[in-house]
Amino acid sequence: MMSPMFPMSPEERIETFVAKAQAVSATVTKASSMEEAAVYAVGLADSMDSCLLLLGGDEANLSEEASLLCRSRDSKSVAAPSLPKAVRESLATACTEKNIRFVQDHLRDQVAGFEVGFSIAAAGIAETGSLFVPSTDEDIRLTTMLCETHVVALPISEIVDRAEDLEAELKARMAGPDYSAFITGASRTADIERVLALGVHGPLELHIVLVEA
Amino acid sequence: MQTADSLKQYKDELRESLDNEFLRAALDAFAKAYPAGRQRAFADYDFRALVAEGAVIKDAAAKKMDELYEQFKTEAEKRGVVVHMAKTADEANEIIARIAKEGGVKRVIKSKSMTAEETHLNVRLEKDNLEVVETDLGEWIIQLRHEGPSHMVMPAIHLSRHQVKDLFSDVTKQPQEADIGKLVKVARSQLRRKFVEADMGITGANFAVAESGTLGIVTNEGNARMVSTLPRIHVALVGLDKLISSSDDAIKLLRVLPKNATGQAITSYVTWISGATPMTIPGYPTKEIHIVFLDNGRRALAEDPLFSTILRCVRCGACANVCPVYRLVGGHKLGHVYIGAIGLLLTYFFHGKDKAKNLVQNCIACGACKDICAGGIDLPRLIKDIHARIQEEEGRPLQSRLLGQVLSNRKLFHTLLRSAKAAQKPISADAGYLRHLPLIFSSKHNFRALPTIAEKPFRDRFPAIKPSTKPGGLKVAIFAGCAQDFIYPEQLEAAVAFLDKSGVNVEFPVDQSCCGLPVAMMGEKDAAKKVALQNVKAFNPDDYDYILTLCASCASHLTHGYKNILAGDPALITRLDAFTRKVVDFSTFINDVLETRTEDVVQQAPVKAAYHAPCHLCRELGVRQAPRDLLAKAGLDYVPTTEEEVCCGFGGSFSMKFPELSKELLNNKLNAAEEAGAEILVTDCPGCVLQLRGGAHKQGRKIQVKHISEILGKK
Ligand code: SF4
Ligand code: SF4
Repeated sequence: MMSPMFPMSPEERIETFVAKAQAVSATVTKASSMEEAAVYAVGLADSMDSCLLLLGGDEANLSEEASLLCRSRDSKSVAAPSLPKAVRESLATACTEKNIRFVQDHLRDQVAGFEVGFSIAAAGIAETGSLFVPSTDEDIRLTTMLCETHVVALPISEIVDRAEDLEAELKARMAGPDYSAFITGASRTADIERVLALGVHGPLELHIVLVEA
Repeated sequence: MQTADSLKQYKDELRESLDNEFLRAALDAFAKAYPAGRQRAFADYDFRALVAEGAVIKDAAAKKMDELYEQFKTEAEKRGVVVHMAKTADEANEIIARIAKEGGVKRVIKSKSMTAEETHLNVRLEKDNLEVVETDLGEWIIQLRHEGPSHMVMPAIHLSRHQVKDLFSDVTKQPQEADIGKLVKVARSQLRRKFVEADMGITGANFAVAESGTLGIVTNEGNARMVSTLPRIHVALVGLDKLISSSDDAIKLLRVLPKNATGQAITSYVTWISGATPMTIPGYPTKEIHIVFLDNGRRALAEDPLFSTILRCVRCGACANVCPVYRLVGGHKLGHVYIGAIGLLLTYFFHGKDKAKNLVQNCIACGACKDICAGGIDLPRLIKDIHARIQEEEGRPLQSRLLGQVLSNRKLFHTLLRSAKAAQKPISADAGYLRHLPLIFSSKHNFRALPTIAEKPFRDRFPAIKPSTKPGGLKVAIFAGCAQDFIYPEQLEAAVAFLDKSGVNVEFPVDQSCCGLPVAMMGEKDAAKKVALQNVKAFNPDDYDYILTLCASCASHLTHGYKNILAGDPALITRLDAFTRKVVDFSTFINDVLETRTEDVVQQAPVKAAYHAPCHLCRELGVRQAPRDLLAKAGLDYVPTTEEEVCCGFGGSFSMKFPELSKELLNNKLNAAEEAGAEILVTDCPGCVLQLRGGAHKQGRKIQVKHISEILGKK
């Protein structure tokens, strides 16, 4: 069923996407290139306290076994597997400059998590402010789950009005094997007294970088 | 989880919930917050159209359930998945236990699955000494407390942060604070390790897309993604009702589900899993995925002409969110595993008659669930039908059978009412109320004063007040209904006077009887049908332009109710159709048909007046504006109140069976009207008048309760 807001003009589409994403507490910024988006992710990690699992719960009183998990993490890290070469190189350079660990694979062995995970969305859905993130690659998938802050780069040109507009792409992927997701805002729960809390099992924050080029 | 054997035991359990102050406050707050959030989410959409579209998708899928299953199986197997079919809950559990055994599994993590709750899967796996950990926060909490969910979407809504704090302090063996943000993080950290250690992850699914063997999983926490990613084996337990044809269908259903569930445009994560993807665990290059489809009565349901619509349910939980009974007693008392209106039905089909027999009686038939259902399921009607079915199977209770017999015989019924009037004489006093409750009532019914039966019923008064014939005027036949015929004839008299002055011809066909709703509510199908037939015969639709009733419940039963009850009688179709099309409620007739204007109406003192919208009028008949317009036209200062459309708690036999619940609903209403500063509370139904006026009188409240006919005088 079409709602009155469709179809949208390109401006409306971007505006709606941004408004809907912000409505679910996503941070939206712009960058002129993928490389710039990657550097933004590193900058975010740099500005965070070390071992942000702290934010994720280490300051709370944990059982012994749970706190072991945190101590296994020593330096700040950014996870970003399977990036295009140029983007990977920019990110690697930025990480070296800031003395941040750049994790590209075997994420499964580092389930304590990362300050920042960086991935690239295939599309954005304006209607709901969602990101379409193919993540058949397990390392990419774990990036989107295990980080404290998830930074997703989204080419502006890939924003569509509604999920229906992705049907061809969805079906092509579902020819599979495939694992994909619509991601909208950070991980959230309202399971205790219906009070909204962000970051249950997944990221505590979602940053979307709209890439112009 | 509701497990009471007898109705008495069930009622005792309800009492416990009513006394649970935290639960009451939490559910109250939720009931007030939910509608606003939901409304915002749907602001840009046509909800009814979305529901209709979803219903078509789900109905079509139910019709070809077997075909979709085969297609799903073929497609999923092409993509490296093993697909299983379980006929029963036990079979599903055994299949999963076997997969665990063959896979050398020791630790299992789960994300939320109502289907796994339905089969009591954890109990089975724990028997094999497997460690099973729920990872959905709410599910984890209730698992630690050894409880069942009290809501389909928010399973721990019955608990306070303090209870969770105590629980987490136990689990971590460290003192915790009652700070929700911190508690959530404790869970995050505690459970992280469980994800790493587990060898099997169990999820449910919201959609099983046949064309590509894809699972669609809708979550907010992100745990389903971790559960389906980290352990080397993934098992999804999926009800056959989740099968749909295409991803297009899934996307359409997805437009309604989260909005209706929590007022979110979409959940944080919607995950699409199409086949077994590569894994990075050494020695395990690809994921091992099993999808276990559960029948457990679903295929039989799909074949059922009436109950197949149950399979449209997308488990949004909205039918509990708006249910006034759920709001009072919570999910542990209004459901077994499945909660709320749909829970009453699913309990019967999935967990059996014994678990359902008390539950189905606890529906006041207010229609709030039907109005909001994402699947457009006529829940109250189906609940009534299940009730009738259980009564047939169990043998109907004496009280219900007696009422059935009495109501099927109009003369007997009216004679009894007349003799009841004679019998009440010595005790009636105090401005039209019984001084003592008749013996069939217990002291729990003493929350409202009961009216006396009128000296002279309307049917005996009518000949004297029958307006003279006005050639060319509209011809209206009055359907009185028991309450106004025998208790409040003055309401009908006021209406007749108004009609007369408006140039309308009025008739009263004397063969009419009770509309039959009380017996329909009690599951007395035969009696309900007999009474319906009698009434349809009593009114020759060709003789009248309208069949007018001042009772919202009668109006809705004479139309929607009769269409169901008398369906399948081909000899009756034309007559029934003409009959139901002529039925009109009083407010609609006066406001919309007669187009009565302010200058036609005697002006009341301009005091603040609240309106109570009878369930059957606002939701069943969709009449919302006319009565409110009339309040203003009568010169009253209409003040909107919170929850104007929430049930007053009368519900006929409901208030007899569950007086303590009825009382709470009544109090909510009166409080809301008084808080708005109203001096008068106007409504459109004599049943609501009986409840509200009797309650206000009993409690010595100042507010006056009026039927709308009593405030309308034609100039
Ligand atoms: S009809 Fe009303 S009382 Fe009955 S289940 Fe639905 S919402 Fe609850
Ligand atoms: S019956 Fe309707 S309202 Fe209730 S959970 Fe199912 S879809 Fe939602």
